Amino acid sequence: MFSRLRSSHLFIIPLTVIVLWPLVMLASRAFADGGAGFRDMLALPNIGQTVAHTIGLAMGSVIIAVLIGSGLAWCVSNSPQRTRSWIGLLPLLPLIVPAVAGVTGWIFLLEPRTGYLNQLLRQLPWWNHLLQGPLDIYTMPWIIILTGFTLSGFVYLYVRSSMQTLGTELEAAARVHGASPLRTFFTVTLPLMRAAIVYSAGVAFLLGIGQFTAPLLLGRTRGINVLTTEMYYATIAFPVKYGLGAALGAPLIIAGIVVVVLQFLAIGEQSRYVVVTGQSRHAEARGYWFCPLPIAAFFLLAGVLPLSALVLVALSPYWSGTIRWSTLGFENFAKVLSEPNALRALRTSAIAIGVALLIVVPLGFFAAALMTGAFRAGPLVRRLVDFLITLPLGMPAAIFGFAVLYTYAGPPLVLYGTITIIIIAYVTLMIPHAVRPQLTTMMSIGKEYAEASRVHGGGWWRTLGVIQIPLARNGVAVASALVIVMLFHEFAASMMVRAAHTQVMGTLLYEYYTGGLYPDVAVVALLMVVVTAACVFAALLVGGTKALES
Amino acid sequence: MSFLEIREVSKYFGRKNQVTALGNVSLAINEGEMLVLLGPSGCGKTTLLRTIAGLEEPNKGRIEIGGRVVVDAEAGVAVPSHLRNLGLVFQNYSLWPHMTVLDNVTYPLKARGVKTKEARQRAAEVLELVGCAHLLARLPGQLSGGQQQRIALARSLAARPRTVLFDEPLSNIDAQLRRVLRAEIRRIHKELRFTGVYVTHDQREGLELGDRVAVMRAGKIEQVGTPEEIHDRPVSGYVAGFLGIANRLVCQVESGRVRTSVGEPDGPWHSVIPDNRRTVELFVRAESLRLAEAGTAADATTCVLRGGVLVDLIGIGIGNVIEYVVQIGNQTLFAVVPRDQNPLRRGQHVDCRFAPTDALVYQLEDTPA
Repeated sequence: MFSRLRSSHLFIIPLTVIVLWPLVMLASRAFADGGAGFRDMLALPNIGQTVAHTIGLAMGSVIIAVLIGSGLAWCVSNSPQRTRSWIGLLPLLPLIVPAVAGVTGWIFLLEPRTGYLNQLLRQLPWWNHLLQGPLDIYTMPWIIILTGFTLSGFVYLYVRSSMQTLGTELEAAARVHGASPLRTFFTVTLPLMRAAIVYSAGVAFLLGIGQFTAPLLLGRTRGINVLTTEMYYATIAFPVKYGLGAALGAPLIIAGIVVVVLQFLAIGEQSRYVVVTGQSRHAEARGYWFCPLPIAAFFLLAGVLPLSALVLVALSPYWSGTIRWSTLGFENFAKVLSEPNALRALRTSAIAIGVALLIVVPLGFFAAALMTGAFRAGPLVRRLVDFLITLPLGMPAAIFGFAVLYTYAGPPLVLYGTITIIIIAYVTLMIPHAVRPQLTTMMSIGKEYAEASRVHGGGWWRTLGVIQIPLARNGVAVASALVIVMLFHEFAASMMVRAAHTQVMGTLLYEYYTGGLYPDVAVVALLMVVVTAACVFAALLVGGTKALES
Repeated sequence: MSFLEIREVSKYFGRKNQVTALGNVSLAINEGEMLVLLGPSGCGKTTLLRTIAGLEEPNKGRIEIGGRVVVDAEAGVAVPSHLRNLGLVFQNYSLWPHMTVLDNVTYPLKARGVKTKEARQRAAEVLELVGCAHLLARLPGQLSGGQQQRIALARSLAARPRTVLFDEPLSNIDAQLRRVLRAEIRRIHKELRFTGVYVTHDQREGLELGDRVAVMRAGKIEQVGTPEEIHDRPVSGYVAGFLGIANRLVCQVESGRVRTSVGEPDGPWHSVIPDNRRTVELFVRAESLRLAEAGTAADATTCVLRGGVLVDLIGIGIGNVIEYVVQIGNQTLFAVVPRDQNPLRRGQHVDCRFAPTDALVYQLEDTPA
């Protein structure tokens, strides 16, 4: 198999360059000049506290996410049957709201002085003497809680799909043999879910340790920092403090690689990509009436509440914390949409996402085809590709952004401030997400259709064009939608590679935020939500409800 | 004149190639012949088929089709599947689900550069041949399993390839339909005279369809011959067991006396078992085993096993034969007899008899078959 060089082997070269090169460059920069970067890092004020915040944020948000996420999954499985199918989508809807929009929504709710929710709480008799508070969003606990909310959607996805694969029969068996619902939960459901919960907790931890949005927006006011925000501050210095940023990123890179390698050793190739088969399940006919309540509460808290705050602020002439219904109007939308800055950011976003999509989805298609054996490759090549497409999952987006900035901004390419550097960052980040849905589709298709084509005279191009692409079109569509949505949400890497004159939607929002233009912030956040929702809706039309679960 | 020639082909799988799927297989298949590869799952028959098709590459050896080397591991030659001029019928049909029946069947023709109009014409002909001309516009998902397999057959024949491969094509189909399709494959093969390689684990299907049959075992070919040869003279206990010969006795020769796993037998057993063998396995077909009431005198030319109890009668009311199940010690023997002969009753003590010429005797191997 490995004796002859196949064209598929050449495919590894761009993949390696895209994924590994920036990381290698960054890691070597961290140790350059006899570790000058690390010396700068240790010289930072409060570096100990920054590390403690980073770990605390990751651990705290994972605990919240696992509790909420698996709790929601259980509630969905035990809801009354008629409601189950659509109620299962509710915990996912808040994922449509970009993190940066969600956090600003919560600022409008819980800002100590003018937050809508705080004003409401101060109406209560025991708090009516307060001038601010009682809640203060600019604190570590709230950074953790909001991050936990974001991550619980991911945990829910893993645990829920694992529950669906398992079906309800094992639980039914326990019930038939005399176990109460509670005993069934602790003796059957929970042990069976353990793998999914542990796995999703690991993923959530990696996501949590690289969190950037909430710490940047909320921690800035009181000087609460994590490693990624310090990295960001290293990029806005002039000249950029690459050594410091690389040193700050090094522990996260190492943690990410360790996790990915461990995962590789623990679980073999491909078995990580569970294909949910369409086995017939006998759903439990009755559920518990109270189960939909926590789901609705989560939906309200994580989705409806911050979104309503955004809408109110976007419609208000300025953000005062009190709602004057007579003054509400669409002036802010008109204003933002006529600003050259905003239009430029919209254009930059559209171009960057469009080009990245055209690169990363075909790249993902080939990677998936190689992994499933639809294109032939040796086992070594397959494992290498598998590793390369998984690695970005272990790396925080902020790190990749910083690494791309360091690698491509300066000579020889000098891409600083161009759309190209944003596109490079986007392609790198999106590789795993472009591969996964296509891989799932191709695995369920199997490689026999391609074999049938080859045996019956179909050459490489004919097989690709007439058989493989049409059959995998669902996966292609879902991957495209996922990439568009995630890139529209993208904030951390964009913040690293943007320049003053090259903004995307997310970074423009941050500009408005630091400038105190709150209604404009709300308008941009809502635009991001609307575009995302439209993409998700389109994906649902193409791929059915399964699409959202990818 | 052999058309498809397989020479010393080996294929290894797994890390460090520790699993041998094919070990030095050589086989020559004549033009227009239908060769059946027969064997239990895991014996390498499908791997051999896929190697011929170019879907697997051998680690060693070479294959020629119609005088052209399609793969030669040593010389680094490997003609891609689509240039080997083949047809292949898959076990699970593998009809492309996004294409209509017509598109599926014209595909091999279009791939070979045949113009659309002519391709349609020829597809219609071959669909006629498999009796599915009325299904042109359907999608595979709208067809029954039997129809799908007919279409898959039509697809493999559409471009009139000189070689057609069959990978257990009937194993997903129910028994009734399997018989019908088997007859059709025979008819179509007679009509078109392609060179065929047919993989199956069903010995009956194999013996019925093959001009010759190759029985495979653990990556090697155990026996090649006409169906009659395979049926009448299996070369080993493995082949005999795989063909489903019902009665197997382990016999030992000790100081000139024959002992079986069910005690000491009567009759001319020495003429059956060669003296120079110590331990042998002896097969007798259920059709060759006769039963008699215990103690009845047997003629001197038959071998006898005594001490049997008739424990069950199977098949009363189905066909004209009865299968008797006899227990001798812990050994179970089967005898199939015409229905109108000796009406024995359950629980009766019986002797089992067979003619020495009906026994198949093999040296016992270390690994039980």
